Amino acid sequence: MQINQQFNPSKGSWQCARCRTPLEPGHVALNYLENSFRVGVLVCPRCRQALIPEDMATGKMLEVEKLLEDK
Amino acid sequence: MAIWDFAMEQSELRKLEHLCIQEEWAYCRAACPLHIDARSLCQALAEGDVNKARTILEKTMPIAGILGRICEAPCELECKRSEADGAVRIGLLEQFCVKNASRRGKPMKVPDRGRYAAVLGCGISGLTVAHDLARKGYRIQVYYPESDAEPQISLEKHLPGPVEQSVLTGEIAHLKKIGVHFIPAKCDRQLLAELLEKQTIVYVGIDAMDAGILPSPPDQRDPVTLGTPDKGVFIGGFPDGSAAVRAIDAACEGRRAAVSIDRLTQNASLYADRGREGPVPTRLVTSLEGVETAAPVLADGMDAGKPSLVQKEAARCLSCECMVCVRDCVYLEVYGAYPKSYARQIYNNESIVKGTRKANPLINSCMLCGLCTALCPNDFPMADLCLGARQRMVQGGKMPPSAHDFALKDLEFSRSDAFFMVCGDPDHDRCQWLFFPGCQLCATHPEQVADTYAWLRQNLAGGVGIALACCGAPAHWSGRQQIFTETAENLTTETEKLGHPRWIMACPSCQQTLGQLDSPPSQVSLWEIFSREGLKPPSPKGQKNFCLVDPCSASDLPLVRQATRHLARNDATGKISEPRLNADVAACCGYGGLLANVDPNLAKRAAERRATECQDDALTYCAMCREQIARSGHRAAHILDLFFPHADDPFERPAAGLSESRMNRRRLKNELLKAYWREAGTEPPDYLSIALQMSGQTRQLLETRRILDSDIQQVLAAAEPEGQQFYDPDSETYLSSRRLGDVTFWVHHAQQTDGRQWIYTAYSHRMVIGKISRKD
Repeated sequence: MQINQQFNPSKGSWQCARCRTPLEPGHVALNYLENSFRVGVLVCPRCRQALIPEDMATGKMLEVEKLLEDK
Repeated sequence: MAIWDFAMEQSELRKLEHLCIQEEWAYCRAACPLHIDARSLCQALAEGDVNKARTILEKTMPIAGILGRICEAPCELECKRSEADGAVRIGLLEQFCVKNASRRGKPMKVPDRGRYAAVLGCGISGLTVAHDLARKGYRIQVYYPESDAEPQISLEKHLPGPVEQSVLTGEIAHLKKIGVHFIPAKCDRQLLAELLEKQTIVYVGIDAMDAGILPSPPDQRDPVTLGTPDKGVFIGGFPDGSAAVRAIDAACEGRRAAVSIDRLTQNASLYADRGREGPVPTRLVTSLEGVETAAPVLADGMDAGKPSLVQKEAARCLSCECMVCVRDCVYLEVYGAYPKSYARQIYNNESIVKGTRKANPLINSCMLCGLCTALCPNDFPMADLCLGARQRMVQGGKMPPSAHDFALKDLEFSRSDAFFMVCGDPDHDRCQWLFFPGCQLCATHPEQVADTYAWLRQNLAGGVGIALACCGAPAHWSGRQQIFTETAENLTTETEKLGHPRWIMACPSCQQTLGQLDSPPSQVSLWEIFSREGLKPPSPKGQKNFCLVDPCSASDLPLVRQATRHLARNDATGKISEPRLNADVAACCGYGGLLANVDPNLAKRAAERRATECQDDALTYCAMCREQIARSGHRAAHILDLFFPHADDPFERPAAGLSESRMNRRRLKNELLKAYWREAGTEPPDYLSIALQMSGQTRQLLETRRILDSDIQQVLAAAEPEGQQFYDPDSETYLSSRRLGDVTFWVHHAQQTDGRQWIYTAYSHRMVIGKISRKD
């Protein structure tokens, strides 16, 4: 998965439900089967929560998961 | 079915590969002394591509311009079609080919490799030697009688001749172009002696020369190498010593001699691996089933020059192959090859140290039904091959974690307190009988399971207990032998406490799976009990004709099949049809081997194919088959739906969803406990009280993604106090997530005024969220 690739939800002005801070672009490390990727997603800068959008989870992430599982 | 527990050594691979006959030569090719690929030739001619046909012919046929015209076509005697409506006239097709297409491209002269040989005699055999060796880079000298102005090809001994002089001249010219020299000489003993003196290997073609020039009598030649007692002299062209020699046999002798000369030149063994020369037997098995009658359109003496007739005749070729297993299995078909190739792919997959194991889906998609083995002339054990590979993948830690995850979690659910229960008869201390409905039947037909238990208690003496459990089949199918053993042992230990009851099996897969245990329980199918007790189902309204669908797991259970047939037939039944693949060769519905987990689309295709073969409404006695067929859109009922109807039209009942299947199991256990043992049952977890609502489309999507209501409820239950949650003020909706085991679930939801949660969507991933940082 490309570093710096940004995955945002298709719609909505998402904020953190805990602190009500609007989400801003950030990075998340995704780990699977001893591999790690750094991907751009929306994050809560205060609570350090990352929003994984549906398209990303069912698209690229699933594809990479399957690839790694067959390695 | 016992597991063929071979370690995939190369020798084992070879044994397996040998069982699959798909790559065996077609009958015509095996019968041809030169192994001409007549199947491909016919295919090309059927397509109207004469030039391609000529190229195919040239690959194996020497001096094709001549041989193609006079070949006696012994292949036709072995043509599979001769068993139906007459052999394909391959000889006439060859004639058409050489008469209507010239050699393609420039003749290839292989660079001189410093190897030499001499040929005496311009017959078919000698020219074959010259042709074959020239193509290997030899410089060949062909000696012809100096009395002839030009080399004359001798065809007197071959019956079909004559061949036009222009053709003969053309073939000589072609041979010259590929490096054959024609030298006029007095072809006698002295010439032979001179050549041998110069260490030249010599071939003497008796189809064109007088055998009198040979130092030793010709009958002393070696039948394998065609060598003579005189070192460096090979002879051929008279296979049976008769005056008339088949041209194709003369060519075959030439080919055999050319191989010997080449090996002698290179100091290689003259005898090793020569068993495949000349006509050979083939192990191929081609079925004539479904072949439409089409009599030959070409005949001897007929002018085979009409392209339309030739095309029609060539199209009669059956393109003989086996493929008997592939034709009837969507799984074998979709991977584009056949078991021999699959065995090799699986072997290679296991040899990969670093890189992608591309055959993982191939290994994990087999339905393990054994249909291919039953159809295969050599019982190729595809299911055992795939199951063995799965077990080794699990042992070696190479099994993709997601492949069977859902099924294994479902097995865990069935083993949990939510469903598992083994109880004796409430009115007896010990039980003579134990009803074992199987987890899937409980998941899809809980009411009928309860009704059946009540019926069994009323009709059987000696006490009837009940076990709600999974037999362990999903663990077995996924290659998790340890989990399978644990599951089965736990089950048998619990049931032993009831005495040693006879198990009444309602699920053929459970019966098959538990029958494989080292100490299997004593089993009888529910259907045999019903049949023995004379139970007949009430006829549903208007239902006349059924298509009785056997599950693949009943292939080895003839008594079960017999009993269900007996039960299905009653006074109101009209015609009972069966799918083409049924009884002991029943195809799988797509559930077997956990295919639906690994490749849902392929499982759907398997179900659709099964449904397509049903002329009428499908009636089956396997809960998985019933659900798969119903899901494919075909009307289907379980036989218990007929005995204990809970709907006006049981054939219309939609397939149970995944969440519903779990809920049914929970409910069944508690209802039985309450009804028979006055127990409250297992308290459901709090999160199950969270009420959900969603559109049909979302429900369908979640089924595809294998996300359960209970997954969503667990996410929502934890969302506020500890979980991760986001809020969108525009839509006033929430996006909540939680890691449950090895999967992170995300739920997009909103609270409704009635307190229920409206679910917009849900999705999941297996990747673990690590460090989160702001943009640099």
